[in-house]
Amino acid sequence: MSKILLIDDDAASRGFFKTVAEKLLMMDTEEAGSISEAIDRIAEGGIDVIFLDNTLSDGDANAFCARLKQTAPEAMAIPKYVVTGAHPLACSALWTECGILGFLLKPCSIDEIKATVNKCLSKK
Amino acid sequence: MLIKKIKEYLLPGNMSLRTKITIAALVYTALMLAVLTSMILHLQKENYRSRAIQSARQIAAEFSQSLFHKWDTTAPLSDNKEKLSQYTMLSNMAFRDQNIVYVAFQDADDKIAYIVKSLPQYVWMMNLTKTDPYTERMLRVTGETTRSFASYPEGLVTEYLNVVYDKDKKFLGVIKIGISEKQVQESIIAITRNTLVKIITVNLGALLLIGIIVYYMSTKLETRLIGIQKQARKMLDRTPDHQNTQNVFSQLTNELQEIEGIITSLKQRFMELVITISHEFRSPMQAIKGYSEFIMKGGAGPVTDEQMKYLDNISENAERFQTFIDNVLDLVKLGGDSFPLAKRNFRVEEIILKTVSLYAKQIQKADIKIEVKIPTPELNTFGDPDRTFQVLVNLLSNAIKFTPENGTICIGAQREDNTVIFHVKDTGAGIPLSKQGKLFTEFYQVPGIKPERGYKGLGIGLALCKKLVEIQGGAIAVESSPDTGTVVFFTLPAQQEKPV
Repeated sequence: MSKILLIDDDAASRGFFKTVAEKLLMMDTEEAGSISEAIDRIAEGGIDVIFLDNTLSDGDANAFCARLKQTAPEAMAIPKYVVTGAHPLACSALWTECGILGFLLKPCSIDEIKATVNKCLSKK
Repeated sequence: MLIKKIKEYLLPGNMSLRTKITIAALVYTALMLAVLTSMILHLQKENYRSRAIQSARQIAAEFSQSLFHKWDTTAPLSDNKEKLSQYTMLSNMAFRDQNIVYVAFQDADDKIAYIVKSLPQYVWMMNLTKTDPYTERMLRVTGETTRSFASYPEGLVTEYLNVVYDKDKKFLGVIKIGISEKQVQESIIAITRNTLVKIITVNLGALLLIGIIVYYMSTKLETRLIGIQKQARKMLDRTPDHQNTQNVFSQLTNELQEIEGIITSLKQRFMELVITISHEFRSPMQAIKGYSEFIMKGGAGPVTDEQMKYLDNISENAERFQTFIDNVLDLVKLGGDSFPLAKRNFRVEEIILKTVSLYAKQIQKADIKIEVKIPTPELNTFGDPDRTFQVLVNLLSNAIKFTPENGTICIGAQREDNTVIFHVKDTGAGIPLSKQGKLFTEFYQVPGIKPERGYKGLGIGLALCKKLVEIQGGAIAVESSPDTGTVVFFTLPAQQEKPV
């Protein structure tokens, strides 16, 4: 069973994605409320897909990528999607290097989530 | 040099301005009056002489008439003749036929006497050695002695001839008349003196009046000029203040730069706040909308019709709230320095169907017919698909609000040259032409038109649409009438071969 890591500082939002992933996509889930927490989870291994909020208490997606590159470069290849409340200007080169395939604008529909997860799994 | 000296003498440097102006005005006026007086006197003199000659000839004519023609001796001499006769005299006569004249004299004693007595002075030139019949007659009629008849009055006498004819126009001779130049001159001098006295009196009066007026006006002028001069001196005296002024300007410039910096910083903070708000509301909205959808899709078990109705209501209102917040935030962001756009070629049909799909339930619930018209399904346009979707969402949302039951909404797009024209048409109440001008203005709501369903909103949807279309290089317009409903068009560039 594929495992998705949900990184979001908003518990309600994280909870919704967890529900959809477990109940509708039949995936295992891991949760993290900050970059530091996420890095620890990734270090444990077994993550297939990462959904990442762009505004976390200890940094944004760029900061996450920088730390990941430093601490767990092998995890750079894990397909990732940014799920954000604010429309980002564009996907940066660092995002691409970090394995970020794109972004989803909150609130997104279940169909959009399904399609995005499938896209990520296909890139693995 | 002379003029300069006269000027220095008349207008010394220490004299006040008002006095200088007054003197200059008086001198000028006096000169003008002198010229005028001289002209008047000359004309008067010429006029007097002319009248004297005329008068002399009149007397001669009357005298000849008294001799040879019937003449009313009782008639008084004219005024002119009376006034001037004192300088005029009968001086002599020369006739071809002395007998005729003699006879005439005999018949006209009383007339001659009348004429002669009317003249205060006359001279009858006579030959002292030879007595002629006229002279004898004149002596007898006038009662004068021979001596008094023999000389001219003192001074030059100008003589004029007056030709005498008889009743049959036959030349009889001439009567000489004389004008005493000396007396005329004396008289003219006397008249001139009188006239001059009058003119000088009037002129002095005029000069006095002019002097007073000019002095009064020049005093006011001088006061004003002195005021200006004082102000100018004050300004000149402030030379050291120029530096101060520069300092003030420099200070102001610095302060303005500081204010500009503060404004820029505030704008930056405001934009950051907007982004934060945008993010902060979207996360809980994800939970609200997401869980509603999850339950509606049966993720939490079977859903009853009643539960479905409530969930639908939650979802719809969450959607409305999200659209509203999105619009407000975007409107704010559009007023900033930059607005993120992800422009690319995208399929028109896809974005239109996505829009229709979003409102499919509402359209069905409102019992409205929807028509999608895209003549070329593969039609592509160049722009930001998310922002285009946002425009279409706003337009379709408006159309649903204002279309009555059984009405029709038509949404579509077609290519014309290098442009794709989108349209959203409804069969709603329509907007009168007079109220269409402000339609794309922020917070404008067409007065007197109520939506068929839902909320009227804040009047920011169309304003946002206009901005979103324009930043993508397009334009937006409306056609509407109360009979046919409303159609909103907007354009975007057609697909680009090599998007920049």
